[in-house]
Amino acid sequence: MKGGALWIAWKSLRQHALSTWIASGSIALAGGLLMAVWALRSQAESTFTEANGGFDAVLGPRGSQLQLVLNSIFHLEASSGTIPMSTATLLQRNPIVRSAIARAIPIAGGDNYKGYRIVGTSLELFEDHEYKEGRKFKIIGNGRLFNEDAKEALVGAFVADKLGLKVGDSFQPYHGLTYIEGAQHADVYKVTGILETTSTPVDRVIWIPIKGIQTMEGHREDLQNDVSAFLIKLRSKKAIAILDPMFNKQGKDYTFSSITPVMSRFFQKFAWFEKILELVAYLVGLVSAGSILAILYNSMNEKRREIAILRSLGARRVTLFSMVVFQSMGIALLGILLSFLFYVLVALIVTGIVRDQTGVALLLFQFDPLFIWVSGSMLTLAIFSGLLPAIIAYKTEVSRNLGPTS
Amino acid sequence: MALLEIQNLSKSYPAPVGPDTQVLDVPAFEMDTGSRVAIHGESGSGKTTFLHLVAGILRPDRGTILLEGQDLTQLPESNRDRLRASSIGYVFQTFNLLQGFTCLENVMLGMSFGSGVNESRARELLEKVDLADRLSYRPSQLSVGQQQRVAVARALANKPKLVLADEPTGNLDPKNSRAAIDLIQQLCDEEGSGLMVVSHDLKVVDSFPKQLSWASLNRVISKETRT
Repeated sequence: MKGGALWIAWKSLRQHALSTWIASGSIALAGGLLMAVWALRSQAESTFTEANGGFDAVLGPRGSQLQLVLNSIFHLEASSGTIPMSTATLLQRNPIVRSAIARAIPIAGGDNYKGYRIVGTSLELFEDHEYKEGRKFKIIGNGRLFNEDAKEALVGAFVADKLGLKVGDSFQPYHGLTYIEGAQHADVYKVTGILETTSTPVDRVIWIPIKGIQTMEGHREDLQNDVSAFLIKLRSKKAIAILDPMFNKQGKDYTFSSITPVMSRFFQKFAWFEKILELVAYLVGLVSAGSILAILYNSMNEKRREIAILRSLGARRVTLFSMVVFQSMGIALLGILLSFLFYVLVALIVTGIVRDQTGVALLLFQFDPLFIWVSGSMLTLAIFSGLLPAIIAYKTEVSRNLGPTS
Repeated sequence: MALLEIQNLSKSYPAPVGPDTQVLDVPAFEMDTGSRVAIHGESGSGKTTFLHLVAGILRPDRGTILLEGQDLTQLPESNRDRLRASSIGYVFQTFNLLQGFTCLENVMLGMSFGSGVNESRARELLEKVDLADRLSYRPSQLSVGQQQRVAVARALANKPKLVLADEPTGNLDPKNSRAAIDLIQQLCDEEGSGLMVVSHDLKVVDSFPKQLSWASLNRVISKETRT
């Protein structure tokens, strides 16, 4: 490598290490921000839209479609009410509905154990349902499913890990969705199994038989035959076009919420925020380009003599032009490398938070074409920023800058 | 064949007001291969311009500069750069070492535009100038005498046909001046390079076998002297 424009550029960057790090740092900030904003947005949208637990829709009480999906699928937000368990029979009776729905699994919530939601459901969820194509829930080790008539529980992997619950442990649920120390039910549940990690919201839930929620000590007796919602698996997604107007427009008792479009609309609401972050990233990008220009331009003023010396040694104008462009490229490459570190740091923090709060695992560490796009843009921007200083280097008059004359 | 032949060389610079100022008018100059010449003249009399023209850094207004028969004045700039890198070594009064580079790297830098980097030759040259133990030192860590020796080693890095030295002892004390000029001459002898030194210091000029007065070479100075 020794000799030539690349070597001189490298030595020059090392000589002005502080300036190099500052310019590279600003590129890292801009590149890292852009990658983080775009990757997070696209990953969050695709993951949350696809993290449907293998269901297509939710049928619940009259209310907000988004609230119904967040509560039933992501176990966030409160339930907007209950619907009778007999709804299942109603669904079976209607031939159009019966032909459209492959599976309708009831869920009922309202309690927690140390902040983690307890949800009642039927065994069908664990025995027959595929939460992803070809993948059913599995119980790890020597555990087993709960008995629908017993006070038994299956614990999601994340909850088991956080609370240290294992097969054979007992616990008493707390009333409500928020953990309040004194609000404990009298019922005692025994853990019969721990579910394998699924990277879905199911990991953050303690599952008990639906009767358990309905008949929990302290719950209203008039709601003992009610459920929070039915999780619906359709035979064909085309059925949404029939079921949506049937429940949401013609009927008044239920809300039918198709998961994917509801989540897409949800993310569209944050588009403005994303635009602002994008704008900030673009501005940081411009500032970083400006800083490269300023650093190289100022160093050109200081380095006219060095350039003249190099010319006197036989360096051609084009060599010096290349040397300055290589310097800006070097700053950019270091910045791009740092931007990936910045991105990894942001991704680690964000995936940790999202995992803790929702159980959903964002796949932020897989290749995304936008990484190439951002890196290429930063490199191009840096090269353009280096052009003016490179032209100055190209035009430097040797004779005038070589020092004393005799 | 002569190493260097100059005919009717003249150079003017634009003046702030009025016509251009002529600084140099050399009707003829010749130097043999491997010879040593010292030119003596006052400071600011155009000697550096003369060396810049010989090195191909500047282009004359008219005249010819033949280096081993090749006319520098007819070459495009990039070819003059190549020729300078491969055939001409330059020693400056202020040494002009690059501060971000070590002694060894400064010498290798001299090679990088010419014959190509040869680290063992760079080490050998620095050993010759008695700086074998300062290879990784930066110029700021050296005395002025040591810096001048690095500059001499760099000038000889590409085994040039001609070494040009512009007031090479201008920044040195008398003792170091003598040592530096002896070293330059000795190394040029060893490498078979011709040497042209310009200096206002008669002690420097006296040590050369061939001595010329700048006033006798440059008609512009001669006219000024007459008036």
